[in-house]
Amino acid sequence: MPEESSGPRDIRIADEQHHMYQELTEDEASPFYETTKTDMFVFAMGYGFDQGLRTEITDSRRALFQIRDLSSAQDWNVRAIAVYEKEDHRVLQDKSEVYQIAVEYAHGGMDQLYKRYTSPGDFFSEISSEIIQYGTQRLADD
Amino acid sequence: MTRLEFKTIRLKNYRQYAGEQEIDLTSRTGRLNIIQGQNGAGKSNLLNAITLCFYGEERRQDDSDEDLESLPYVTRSVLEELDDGDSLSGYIEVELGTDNPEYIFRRTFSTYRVDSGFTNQIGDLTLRRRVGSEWKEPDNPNTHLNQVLPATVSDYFLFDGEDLDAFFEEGYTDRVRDAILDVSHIELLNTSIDHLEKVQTDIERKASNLEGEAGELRDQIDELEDELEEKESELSTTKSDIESTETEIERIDRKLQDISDEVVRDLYTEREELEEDIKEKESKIEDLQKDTVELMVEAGPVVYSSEALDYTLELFNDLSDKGQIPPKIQEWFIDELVERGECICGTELSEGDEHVKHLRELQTDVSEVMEENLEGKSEIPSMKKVASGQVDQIQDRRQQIASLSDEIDSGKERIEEIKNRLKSYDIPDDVDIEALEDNREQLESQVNTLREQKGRIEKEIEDIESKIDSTRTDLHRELEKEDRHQQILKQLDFISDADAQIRDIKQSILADIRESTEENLEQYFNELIWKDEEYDITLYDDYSIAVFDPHGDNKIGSLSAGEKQVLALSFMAALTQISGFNAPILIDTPLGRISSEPKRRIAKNLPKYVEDTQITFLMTDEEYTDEVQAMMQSSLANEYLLEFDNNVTRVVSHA
Repeated sequence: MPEESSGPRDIRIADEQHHMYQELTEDEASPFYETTKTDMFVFAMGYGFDQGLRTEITDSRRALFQIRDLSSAQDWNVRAIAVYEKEDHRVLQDKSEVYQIAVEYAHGGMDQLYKRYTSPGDFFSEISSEIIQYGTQRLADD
Repeated sequence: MTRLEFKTIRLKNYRQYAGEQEIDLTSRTGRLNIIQGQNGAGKSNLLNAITLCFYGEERRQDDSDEDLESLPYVTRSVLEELDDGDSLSGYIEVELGTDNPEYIFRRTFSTYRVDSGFTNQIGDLTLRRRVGSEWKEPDNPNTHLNQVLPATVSDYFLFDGEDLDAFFEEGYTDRVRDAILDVSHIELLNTSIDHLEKVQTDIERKASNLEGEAGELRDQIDELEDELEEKESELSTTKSDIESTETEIERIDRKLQDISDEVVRDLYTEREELEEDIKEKESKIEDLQKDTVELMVEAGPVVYSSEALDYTLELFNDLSDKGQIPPKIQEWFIDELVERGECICGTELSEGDEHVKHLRELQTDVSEVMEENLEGKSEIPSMKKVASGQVDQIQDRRQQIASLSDEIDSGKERIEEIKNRLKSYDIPDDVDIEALEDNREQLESQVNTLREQKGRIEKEIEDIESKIDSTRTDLHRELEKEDRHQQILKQLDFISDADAQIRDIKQSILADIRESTEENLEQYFNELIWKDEEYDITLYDDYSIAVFDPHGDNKIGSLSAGEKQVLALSFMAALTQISGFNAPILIDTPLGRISSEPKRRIAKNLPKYVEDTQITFLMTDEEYTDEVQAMMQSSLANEYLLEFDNNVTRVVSHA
């Protein structure tokens, strides 16, 4: 049975990735220009989960946003990934673990997203086509 | 009228104006002066005469291809007799006042004949100022001129309508911001900020002289600041290169527009419309992309983690089916039991005993966990449903983007065809279309490269500024380590507070000015526009402007050339009001190069332009029609005609 924990106040990401969040959300050329850091994190987490990129953070960390900034739907995204990862719904009682899993997937996801952004190609078209393709396949029956 | 007026403009041997000529603009009844003249008669040079007299520079290029600076100030016809090394002089005198003349500004100029042509020289600005009943010559005419109309603000009082053609085209937010900064009188605050930065550097140096680590950080800041300065100067050069290249393109466009051959004119007009259409479509694509990104950011995580969401939902449903998620225990049920003092099993319950404690724990624990799971059971399907709809919307936006991109491509192809046709078109006019087209193409490609360069430099500046900030934080952290730096840190904190306060004040002043500009702009636009509808105008924090029609649609992207000209004229009027200077206004070709029907409609409303101010319009025959004259009649003060003959202009009363 997982331990109960109230969880952290902030989502903290690796120091080394701070500039990636900044570039992707603040560069006019980025498809994520003007996206909030919270939304960017959740996107990276989802992407990292899809690609199986859970990556432990060994570097020092810095706060990106407060957990209370997550919308209810975003929070359920985070929680569902933790439940899937642990194959146990009781992980939800251990909030530290829930957000730790999210941060690790976001770490792997952001690394990959940033690589795609800085590589040649039309990142906007690629990523939107991907969402259309997966979305149509995976959400079709709902 | 308490505002300053032009009383008289006197010219001697200036450009087309041979000999001594005087234009009396004293108001008798109305406030509008009209000086009418055909192209080349010297309308633009009247505007140039005033800026040359006031600021020592001609700002308006005339219609000829030659660079203004290479042309003699002194009238060509009187220079013909000159031998090499000889010179001739002239002057420009501008008299200003309210009821009576109060200021007479004067500047002399000379033109020398040299081997290669001519060279010009200008004298210093002089002023005679009326004090009581006497005329005096103050030592500092420029200071007096700055009180009347400083150079930075004069562009909004003395300007050419043709320059407004492109004011609200691409990149207009920079122009709006710069103009608002020009009239905002915040130079003192900017100087204070610069001063504080200098003091901050001095204090930091004082500290870093003592210690190695802090010294190194301070050196890094110095290097970064030097780099920043270099980049800022590079940016300013790039901006001015963009501006001059765009002006050059406009000049070529004007030349092409003026070609008398109908086929060429039609092709040119078609190309202009296509370019306009492409710009509009590109802006639509930008909006659609923005919209798509918002949808992607919401739907993406759900799509990517759908397996986890499905798994979690299934798990909750299984648990629920197996009875492992009991129906939610209603809090009120436990409350009632405790209140009644008896459990359903008959056990007596009283506050504080073990049974009640257990019930209360159950109430908290079970409700928290189960409530969460129950919430998940309903939230997850709804998330997936919303995301599915968003994916459909993304698909729809992508299709719209693709079809707009196709339309842009065919537009570009057609433009290419037009370019080639224009290049191969032989016309009797003395104009080499192919050369003009080639030149235009090169300039366009130059502008694009320069714009990219500008974006790159701006990004580099941002990066350097952020590096300076973080190095400065490190430096302060380093200084904090030693007690003896406490005094210095206090001073730095004080400077940082003062800097923040001044920046706040500056922002609040700019916000006020933006608000007043918005109000004035809306008022002038509704007065000048020929439509009966009332428009709402919003000037946003990023200096973009929205023009809302009565249905609430923002028309800024689809304004016609005429409407854009009215918007630009209204913006200039708003700025003159905000600047706080009570100077007269003089506009050359107020209606620019827009086509004749909208020109006629705007001209009808021109008498309403900036009421309570003397306005002098330098108008073409096409602008100043009989109909417009009749509309202006009641506001007219003076009417002059520029009679142009044999390259010499004579100013005659039009009465």
